[in-house]
Amino acid sequence: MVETERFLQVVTEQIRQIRDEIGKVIVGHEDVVEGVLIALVAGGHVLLEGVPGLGKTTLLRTLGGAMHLDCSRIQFTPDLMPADIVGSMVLESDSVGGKNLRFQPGPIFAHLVLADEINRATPRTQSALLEAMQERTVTTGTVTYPLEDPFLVMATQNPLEMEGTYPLPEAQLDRFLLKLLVGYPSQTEMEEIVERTMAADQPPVHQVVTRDQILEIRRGAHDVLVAPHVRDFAIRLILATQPERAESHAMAKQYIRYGSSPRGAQSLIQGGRVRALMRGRLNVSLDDLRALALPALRHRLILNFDAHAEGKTADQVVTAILESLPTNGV
Amino acid sequence: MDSAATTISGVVQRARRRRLGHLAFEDGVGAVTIGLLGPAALLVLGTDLMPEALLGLFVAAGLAVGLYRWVHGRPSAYGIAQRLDSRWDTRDQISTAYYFNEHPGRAGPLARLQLKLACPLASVGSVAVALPFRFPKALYALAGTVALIAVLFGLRYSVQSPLSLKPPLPPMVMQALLGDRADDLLADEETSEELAEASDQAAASVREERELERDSREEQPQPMPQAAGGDQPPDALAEDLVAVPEVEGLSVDEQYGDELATAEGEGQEGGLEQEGLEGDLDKGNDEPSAQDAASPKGGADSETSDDLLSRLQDAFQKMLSSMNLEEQMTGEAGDPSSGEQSEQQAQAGAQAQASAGEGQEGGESDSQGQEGGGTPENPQELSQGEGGSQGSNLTPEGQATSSAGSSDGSKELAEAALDQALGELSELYSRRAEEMSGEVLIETEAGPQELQTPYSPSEASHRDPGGAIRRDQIPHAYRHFIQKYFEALQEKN
Repeated sequence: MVETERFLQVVTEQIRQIRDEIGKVIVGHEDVVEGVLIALVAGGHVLLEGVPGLGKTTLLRTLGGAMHLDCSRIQFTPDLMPADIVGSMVLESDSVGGKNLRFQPGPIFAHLVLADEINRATPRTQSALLEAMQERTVTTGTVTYPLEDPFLVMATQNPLEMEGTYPLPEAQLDRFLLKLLVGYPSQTEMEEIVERTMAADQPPVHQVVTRDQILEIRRGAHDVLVAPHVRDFAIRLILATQPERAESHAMAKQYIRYGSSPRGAQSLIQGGRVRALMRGRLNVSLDDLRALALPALRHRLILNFDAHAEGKTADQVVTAILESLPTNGV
Repeated sequence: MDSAATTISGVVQRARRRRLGHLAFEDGVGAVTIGLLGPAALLVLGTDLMPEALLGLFVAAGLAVGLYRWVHGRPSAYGIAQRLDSRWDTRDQISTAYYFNEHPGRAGPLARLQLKLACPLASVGSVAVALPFRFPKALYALAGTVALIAVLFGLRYSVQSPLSLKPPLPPMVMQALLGDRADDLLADEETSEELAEASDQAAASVREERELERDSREEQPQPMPQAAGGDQPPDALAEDLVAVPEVEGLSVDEQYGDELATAEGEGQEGGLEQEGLEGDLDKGNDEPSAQDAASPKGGADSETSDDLLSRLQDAFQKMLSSMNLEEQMTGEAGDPSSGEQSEQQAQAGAQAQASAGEGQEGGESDSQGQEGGGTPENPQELSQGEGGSQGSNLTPEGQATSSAGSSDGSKELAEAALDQALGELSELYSRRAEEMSGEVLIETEAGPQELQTPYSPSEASHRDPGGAIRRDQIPHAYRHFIQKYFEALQEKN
């Protein structure tokens, strides 16, 4: 099926249907919805940052409903323990009065996991997600349990300036494919939200894509072509963010303490493949990389004190690098 | 599928050929420009200075440069495909399809489908739009070179009716523009060179003459200035002072330049009264000296040396006259004939004369001398016209300590001696302090100790105009909090 022309039509149609179903509930935030879908198809995880009340949890529930996947929600609090996420051993009595220890899976065992306000938990609890996000397995004691595909962790966090938050460790930040900023809706979108809220019945979300179809799209996205000049562009973009390199950008030397890891390049290529597929193309273009540069790199750059003092953000630095990065052959 | 590959490859190759043509044109223009520099140089230099064979060198250099640029600037077909994608806004589909069509081993399962999708985009695009012809900048250089050649050719043809490339152009143009004046200019140049040589010879002769004069002065006996009982007239003393041997490494001008400047400054300070005196002194010096008469050469150099000597004599005569005037004043105030005082004055006078304040006093005494003595014709008359002994008058040192009227000199001497003694004492103390060691016990009163230096509270917020903190003042341990503070501040703003 992959080699047929119909494959591309099916994929684009299915993705369009998912977006339509989400659009029934979520007003606006097209880029956020697209980012979540890219992360789901590419097999990554997504970190949403925004103030409360912007529909982050609703987006996850709608996504789960449209694809009929198992959803779970974990509210992160300062006293949340790692066992509350991965599960724990419980003592059970059998019919003959014997006592047995049985593993009770935690909420991490789901297709879509919403880690709500992940930066309110302590770093120890946050780190409980590391193995699950990267290895797709959960280890308790000496037993390792695999997680079922698709597995998407969609974490939300409040801005770090708010009280009672613990910044995510860099190792965990690096494991998110994309970091999406959820902004306030526009006036038109706000009116639409209020209209829908006042309506008596909420529109139902139908299942439009099965789990197997999602996995098939993922396999197809993996075969999307990446030309050498596109790959080189992604690599040069990553290298330009590393201040210790000679080829790094001047702004990177000035404001970045640690640049992006190779995972940044992987995220760009993987995300670019899905994005190209969603647009009916079978090749990754430079525009795909440019569109994904901010969500794929903004959480991988660690800015230095000068950047904080001068109010520079990672988005500004990445944008400056993108503008100055030449393309081969053109 | 093969037709799609052919279409993509055909479009890319067509675009590449077009681009290569553009590059060949640009580099060819550059090569021609370099080649045309040869004829331009030939028109300027002529075949006398530049053989015709060098034209071939220019042509070869142009061809080499053009070929090098063309070979190294040739774009690859893949690069051309990327350029087509960029100009046609086809999201890198043509370049991707072309690349994986050329490298089927690296192609995935979707490569053929992707090639098929890219084919319609390549077929509808216009190569001329993607790679438009651009006016090469080298054409400006070529046009400039051609214009230069035309100008040179016209110049040469206008100067020389039967055109000949043999002679160089600049002399011909000079000849044509200036005519006979060109020869005159050349002759003037020779004359100026001869004049320069003659002036050098004159300067050397003047130098020799000066050395002879200096030697003759050194051979003469130099009478020491006496404090008391000297019978030497003032003008003879002035001659002796002029003949002071030259200090090693310093010329006469350098030795007495300051003194001359002081004398000139006094003349300015003295005003109209001073002018009269100087005029009289100049009169006395206008008479030609024996040395001047004996000098075999006249001319400007001898006049310069005479002028220098006369200025030196003026300065010393003025100094002597001022000393005589002061002597006269002190003679009026006290007993000028005291032998002991004269001797003491003779000893201390040399130091007092060297002091800087004497110049000012001299200025005052000049004006006083003019009031009392009228306008004497020479310094000797000036000194003889005043009262007092001749010996004390002749001694310049006698004016410092002759009476209470000039006690300033003695004060300075006493202060200088005191300073010297204090300096020796401080030197002695410092030597002792280096060697001194021991313990020091300081007794203080029992009770609560207080910091004598008042604690100065420093309170300022960053919103205050004067509140500021430098980055290097922030301890490393506090940087995190300072950073958070700045971020909160930015949010508030």
